Amino acid sequence: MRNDILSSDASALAAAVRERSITARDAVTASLSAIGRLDTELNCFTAVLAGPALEQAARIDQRIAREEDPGPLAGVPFAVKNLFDIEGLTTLAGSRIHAEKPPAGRDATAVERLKQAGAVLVGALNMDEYAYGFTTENTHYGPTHNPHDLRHAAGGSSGGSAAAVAAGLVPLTLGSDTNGSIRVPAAFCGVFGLKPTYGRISRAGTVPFVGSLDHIGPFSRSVRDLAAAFDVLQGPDPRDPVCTKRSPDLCLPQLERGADGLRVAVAGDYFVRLGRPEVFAAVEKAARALGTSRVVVIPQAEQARAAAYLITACEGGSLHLPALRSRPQDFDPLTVERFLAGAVLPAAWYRHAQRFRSLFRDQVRELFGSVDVILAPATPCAAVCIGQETITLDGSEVPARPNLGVFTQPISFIGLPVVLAPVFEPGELPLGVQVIAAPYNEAAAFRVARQLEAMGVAKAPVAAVAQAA
Amino acid sequence: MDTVINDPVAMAEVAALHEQYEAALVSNDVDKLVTFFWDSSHALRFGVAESLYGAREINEFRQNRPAVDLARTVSNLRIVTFGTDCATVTLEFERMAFGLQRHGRQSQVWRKFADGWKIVSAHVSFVPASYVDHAAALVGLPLPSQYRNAVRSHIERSAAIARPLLATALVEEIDSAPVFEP
Repeated sequence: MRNDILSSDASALAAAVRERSITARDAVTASLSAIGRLDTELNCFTAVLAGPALEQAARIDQRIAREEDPGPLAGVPFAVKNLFDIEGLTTLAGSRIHAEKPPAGRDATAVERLKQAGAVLVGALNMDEYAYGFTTENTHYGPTHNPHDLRHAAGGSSGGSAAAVAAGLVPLTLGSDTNGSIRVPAAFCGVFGLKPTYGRISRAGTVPFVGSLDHIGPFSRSVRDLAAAFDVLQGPDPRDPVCTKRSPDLCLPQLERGADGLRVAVAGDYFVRLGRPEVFAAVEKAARALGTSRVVVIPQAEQARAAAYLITACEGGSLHLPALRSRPQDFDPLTVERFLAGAVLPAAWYRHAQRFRSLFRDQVRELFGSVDVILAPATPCAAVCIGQETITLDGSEVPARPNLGVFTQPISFIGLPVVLAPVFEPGELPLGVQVIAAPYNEAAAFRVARQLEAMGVAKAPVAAVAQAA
Repeated sequence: MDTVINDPVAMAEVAALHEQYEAALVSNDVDKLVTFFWDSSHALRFGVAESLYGAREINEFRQNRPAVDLARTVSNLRIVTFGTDCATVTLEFERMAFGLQRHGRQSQVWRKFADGWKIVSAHVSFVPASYVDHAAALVGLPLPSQYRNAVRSHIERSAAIARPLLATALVEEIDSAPVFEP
């Protein structure tokens, strides 16, 4: 086991720690050494917490020696996007401005919960500044490279979180998703990602971007890891005002039911336009494997994307208004102009977008009366190159960065849970399929993703970190 | 007979009056200000937002004008006199208006009557400011010039993306409710 600690998933690793075939210290040491070996090129990490991680691992090994329960994720090294508070560390949120803030006084709720489950925090991960981007090309801290091809972007804004898992540096990470910031990098890096129902996982102790649309969720290389993390993370938290009061619906025990009895369809219309043929082929492959040819139309998806775009611009701009007034030069050049523009958009647009959200939510809720899971592409293309300004869609050249979220934005707009399933062949750049379910029905998305994984259609192998060409 | 342009005596008289007018304007000395205008129903003043016909309307406006943001920096002052009883005074100015630094222009026609020089017609205007400049000023956001064009194009892109959404009519009963239940 020792040699391939990081090629197994978190569940296998935790099992090995619990049954003492390896120690938590072995697992954490393997992770720290992989980070040391590979992260100079990948640039996933903005902080590595070797000392605290080894101490925590030692405590877990002691608990095991005393035959106490070390938790379901015992010894699993994990890392979090640097917008999560880590006690004793300044929370950067990808910015230089936040680097001047004092260290966080306590861990974010999600970090606390993973630690309580026995997982060991090894570091903080790179992101687009203030999460306003889809590529993790951060001017202050450098771009995160795609482990499948270093010339390509990891996707964003949780690019460090996706790339660290894809490269096998850690089996589990956390990121955030406002418009696609978990799903886009998971697709680009070829790993599993979960964007839960809005309000289902506490955001307490994270730097917000767009309060109306912010979610947090995990990345992993197996569906069972994703479900195990979700089960640890979900549940009420008085520290997050929008966090649900519902009790957890554990998904891990439901995985092996697969897609049986679930009505699965493919999203048509808007979701079959504005993308490269290969992304639709990936969705088609998943649909074929699940034996469905049914197509459903999510009505007014274009308007939903527009509304998410406006709400994002307005809330993001007003959130950062004090710093935009006093020190715009300290923002990332890739975000500042959009934040400035967002700060002066008309209130009538914002309110129209928020009201449309109610209408769209009701329409989609009705759709879920006749379907349980909807498949849609995650991105309009595979990972763009670092520095790439435009992509060609339907024969026309469009700006790359704002268009990478066209398929993810309408879905997160109304808080639907999505498991991102990576679907690609060895030697190809990864692509992702959004497995979308009704609010609070994460279990259905997990079961379908698990079925795709069991059939070999969805998989997240450790990337053979390619050398730059 | 040729009109004498810029007769030195006339120039000196109008220049002195202009200075007095400017001082009265920025200190909002209303009693003084009204004496500069021709006391006639033919007097005219087009302000930035108001069209005032006759001395009575001009005086009423002066009395009710809030005394805010009156300080201004004048540039390109031009006085031209025609004979000894007719003159134009034009200038450009910068002043704050609703938190925004504005560029304006002012033109006056002066005529010398038995009781002295009076403004018979005046027009004040602001050079139009863009939506971006106005909105940024209203939220107290200075827009560094190097970002202005990009901010403008981001707003145009937002407008293009928003178009189908804003064209979607919503019945009055729909309220925003960020609640997601099965």
